[in-house]
Amino acid sequence: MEREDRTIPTPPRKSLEDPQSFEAAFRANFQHVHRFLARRVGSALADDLAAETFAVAFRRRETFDPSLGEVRAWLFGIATNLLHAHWREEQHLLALEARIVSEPGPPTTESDDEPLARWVAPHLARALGLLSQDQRDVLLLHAWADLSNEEIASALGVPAGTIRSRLSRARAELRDYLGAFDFDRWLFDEKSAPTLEDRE
Amino acid sequence: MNELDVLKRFRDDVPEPSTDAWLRARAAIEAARAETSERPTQLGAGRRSTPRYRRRLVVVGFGVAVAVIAVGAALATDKQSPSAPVARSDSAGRNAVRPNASVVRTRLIDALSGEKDTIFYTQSSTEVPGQPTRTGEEWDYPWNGQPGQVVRQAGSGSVEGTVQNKWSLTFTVPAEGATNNGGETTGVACNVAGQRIDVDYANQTWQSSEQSCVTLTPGLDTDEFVDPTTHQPVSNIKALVADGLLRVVGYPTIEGQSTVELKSNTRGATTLELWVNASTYLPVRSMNTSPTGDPNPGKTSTTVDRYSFLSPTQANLASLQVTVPAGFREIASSQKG
Repeated sequence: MEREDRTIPTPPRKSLEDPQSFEAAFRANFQHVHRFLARRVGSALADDLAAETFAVAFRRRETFDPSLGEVRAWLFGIATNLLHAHWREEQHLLALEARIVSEPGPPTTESDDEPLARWVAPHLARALGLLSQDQRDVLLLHAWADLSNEEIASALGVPAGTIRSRLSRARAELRDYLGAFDFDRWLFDEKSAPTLEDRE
Repeated sequence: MNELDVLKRFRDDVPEPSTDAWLRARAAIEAARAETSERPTQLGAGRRSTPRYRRRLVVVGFGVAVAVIAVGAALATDKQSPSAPVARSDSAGRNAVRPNASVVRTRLIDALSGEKDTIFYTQSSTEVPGQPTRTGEEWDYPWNGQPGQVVRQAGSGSVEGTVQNKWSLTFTVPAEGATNNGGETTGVACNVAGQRIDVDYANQTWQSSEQSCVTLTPGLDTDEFVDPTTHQPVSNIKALVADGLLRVVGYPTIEGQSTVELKSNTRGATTLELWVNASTYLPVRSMNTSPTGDPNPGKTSTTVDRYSFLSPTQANLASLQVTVPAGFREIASSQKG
């Protein structure tokens, strides 16, 4: 159990109550929220969850406090909470992707960008599947939603110190797993890699 | 390059949200707004009383209505089956966000998997034209038994209100992979040492036996459905839902509960309608219609099952005990299944 090093205050009533602000927030953020969700659970489910994210945001708009962070972070927090009900689908998708047969061997040059990304994708899927829900949330909000530690803390209602340690551990676990992956030579040692099956 | 750089490229090629996705989100916001009876967000507060504002309101309102209707029509046809047990309009839920089949599918599976320490109670009634009504009850505890857990099931069957038989079955849920036919997938596990008692009220006899094949997810049986893609029987509603063979057809209120009505997508004469609670996504009722075949060709059998999830109180658990009435004769035991 992690120690909570500070208490997040209850957000006072603020800004998104203005109808035009909500509309602007929707226009500015829908695409990014949808994209984040689609990367995690696929486009079909992302359609539903993105719609649900903004419906929830509308219902709770009076609880948004701009002094605690950008509306973008708040929306990603709602989306992430909604994703928790779809952990199994996310695991399933990662497991499927992890099983995709790679190219016979890694591309030989780092300039060969696309094949490189394709080749490493199953390994990344397996690595992400091994992370805990908390760690994966923080890591992907950081990597895919470009949120800072403070923004993630605000989005998830968790102290920033906890976010820092979760992110640090998630990156360490990812490195441990991809440790079998030589970034310089783009080679992967399959034998030393753990498997995803236990987490499905 | 480090692990974050690699991660940032992963799944970077997802498509942008479609027009339908935008429309669906707008419809969801409008539905949320309708819950709180607020004005449209696109319009400024200062222009509320002008004729131009009113014209825009009509145009925007019409646009939103079209979007909502289009999205709603794409997701579900809000029709009421004339044969539905109860199918009155859900006026309270009319403005609520109505989940589509994909959302219902995932939530129903989650709900069915999430129920652990509860008694799953099914009350069923089967009608065939010209024949007496058959009713039954079944208790299963715990619903979703985990490997190593002892599961108890009990049931009874009646004709025109007269009890014909009662039974009970006790077994230990096998470890995953220990059964010979993938219980998680089929809902049935074999090589299980189930202890069964059958009481025949018509002949005043009873029998104890061993049952080697058991249903892990009892109730909600859908054996008669065949997946049109795999051509395999679909063993239970969980599989039926997971395979995308149920579609949303309405949102009626049943006995005071807001529900989502689903209907089977399978071909053939057998149909299943399922009503799930719109909040918990647990099944409330199902109606299974199938041809009776011989010896009653041309007739249709209709079974309505009502489902409840009961707390494991002593009184409820007592329903899992089958007592043999005094004077009933024991007949030789045998092995079933």
